[in-house]
Amino acid sequence: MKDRETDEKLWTRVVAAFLRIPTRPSSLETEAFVSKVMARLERPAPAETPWFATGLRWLVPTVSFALAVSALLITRPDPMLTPPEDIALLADGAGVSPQASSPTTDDLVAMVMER
Amino acid sequence: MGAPGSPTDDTELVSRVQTGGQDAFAELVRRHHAWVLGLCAATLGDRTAADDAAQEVFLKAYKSLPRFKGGSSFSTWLHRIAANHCLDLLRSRARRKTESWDELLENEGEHIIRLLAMPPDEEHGLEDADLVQRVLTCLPPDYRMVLTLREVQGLNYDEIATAMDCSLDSVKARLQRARRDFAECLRHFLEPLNV
Repeated sequence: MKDRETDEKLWTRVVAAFLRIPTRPSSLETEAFVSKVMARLERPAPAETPWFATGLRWLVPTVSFALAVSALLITRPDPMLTPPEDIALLADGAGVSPQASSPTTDDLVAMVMER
Repeated sequence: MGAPGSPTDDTELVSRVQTGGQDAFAELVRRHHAWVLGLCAATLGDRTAADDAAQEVFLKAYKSLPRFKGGSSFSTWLHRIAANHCLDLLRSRARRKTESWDELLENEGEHIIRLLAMPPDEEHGLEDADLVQRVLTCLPPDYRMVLTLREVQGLNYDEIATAMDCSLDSVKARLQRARRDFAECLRHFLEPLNV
């Protein structure tokens, strides 16, 4: 019982030291406050940004990047269609024999006639 | 007492605001300014921050008034808006808290003893007010709010439960824990005063 009373007394000290009631504003302060709040209510709300405008924030860089990638893909030659540069050079030179051409109809007729 | 024809209670003012009467809202602000500012000041400490917070509370209340059905009193409803707003601010402050409770007690022990021994009617100086805020900042936001609503605002358990959107049992438990923990932290300084 005594402990409880002591605790209550100590708690009263804590409240008095740390949880004091703040000073009441004067009527002048209240009127100034009311004016501030009412002025903020009367201020027009900022115009809402349309969804496509907010979307453009990320859409512009995304589309630009996609266009750049597409342009690169279109202008870049297909590595499967064109031989690498060193092989092409070799093909032009003597190092590699030109591919044997397939026999034409005249050649075949000539061979038959010879026999 | 209002003049003849003027609204005498909040309910009438609220219904006038709901039908587009902005002037009635000015009267509501005038009536409830003192305690809203008091709640914000007690929870946030800094008077400028409290003034800004009180403005925000009234702006939020104005925006939400069309949805206010009158299930509780306007004052209780406003307490909930104010408590939520202040709790949000306290939580965001708590995230960037730098001073620990132990550091504070170590550095300001003598000052805390002086503060606890001070008569309740003696004015706090600037340094005292600053220390009070530093001590209260060390409390979890929920505890600080429940203690403010009970000890500073003088709300009963039901009103606190509505303001904090929780059950009556939860209010009692939180309040008990908040008092016990706060007193426990200060026990070292309180024991000499008990002698």
